[in-house]
Amino acid sequence: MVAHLLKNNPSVSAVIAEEAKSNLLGSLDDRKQLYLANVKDVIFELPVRLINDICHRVAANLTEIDAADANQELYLAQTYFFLEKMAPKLLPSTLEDMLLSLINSVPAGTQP
Amino acid sequence: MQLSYLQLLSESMMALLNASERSANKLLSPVLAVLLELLLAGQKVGKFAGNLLNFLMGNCIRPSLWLQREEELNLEDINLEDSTRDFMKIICLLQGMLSSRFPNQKFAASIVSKFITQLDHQALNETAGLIQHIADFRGELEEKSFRKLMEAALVTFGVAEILNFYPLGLEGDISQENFEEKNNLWLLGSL
Repeated sequence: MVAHLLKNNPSVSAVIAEEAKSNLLGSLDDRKQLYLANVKDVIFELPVRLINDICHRVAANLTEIDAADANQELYLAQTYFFLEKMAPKLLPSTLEDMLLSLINSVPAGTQP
Repeated sequence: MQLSYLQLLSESMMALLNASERSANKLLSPVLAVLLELLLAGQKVGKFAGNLLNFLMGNCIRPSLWLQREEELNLEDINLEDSTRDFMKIICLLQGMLSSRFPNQKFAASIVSKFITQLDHQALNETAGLIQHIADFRGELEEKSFRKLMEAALVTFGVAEILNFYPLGLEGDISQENFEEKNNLWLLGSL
């Protein structure tokens, strides 16, 4: 009966399909936010020393950034996420190290 | 790629500023130098670098850059790492922006005037060279940009201090070519 109704009323079925799609995307977005919040909570519980050690290792990997390498863009984005969430636990020396690595690795192809 | 890099650079700078202002002061001039470099790296990246430059100028220019710490003043030896050195490096970068080599003079003027508005009268001695540079460079700037820069200096340091640098007068023959220059009458437009 419902199938027959939808088949004969394309406008109704389009509205329902749109509604279902938006609900699905909304729920995916909620799950994504929940996941990110969980990741943040988990990382934030790590000892300060370990968090700083991770950050030093990340900084060491930022030696030469290749503007054409998409993986490096992802790495930079992940580092940004990590730094944004962990900033209160990072020591000045760690942040200095991170900044120095960034200053010394301006993406290739941008130097005048 | 450059956008992610710039975001990370700016976030790291702000995180360091919150963690230790003294450490942030040391690294501010190299970070600004990178942003200036990327200003010239294409339209989208350049615009983003410009926004970040503006943001950092508004947030990272603090009195600890130009106020010497007491322990530095008490040292008998010359301390090469004193805090005002970082400040002078930033001033050098900004002077570089106000040159014929930098393509967007209007933007340069807006950044330098923003920098000046973050200062206070105690920064006057260190900033005197920059003000002199602005005055010398006025022929290359649009009138509006020059006025914006001088207005920032007048508001920050006070009219009396700027008039000490450039006393107004009416000496000489008005028909002489250098009459206006000699009497600093160009300053009247900003007062």
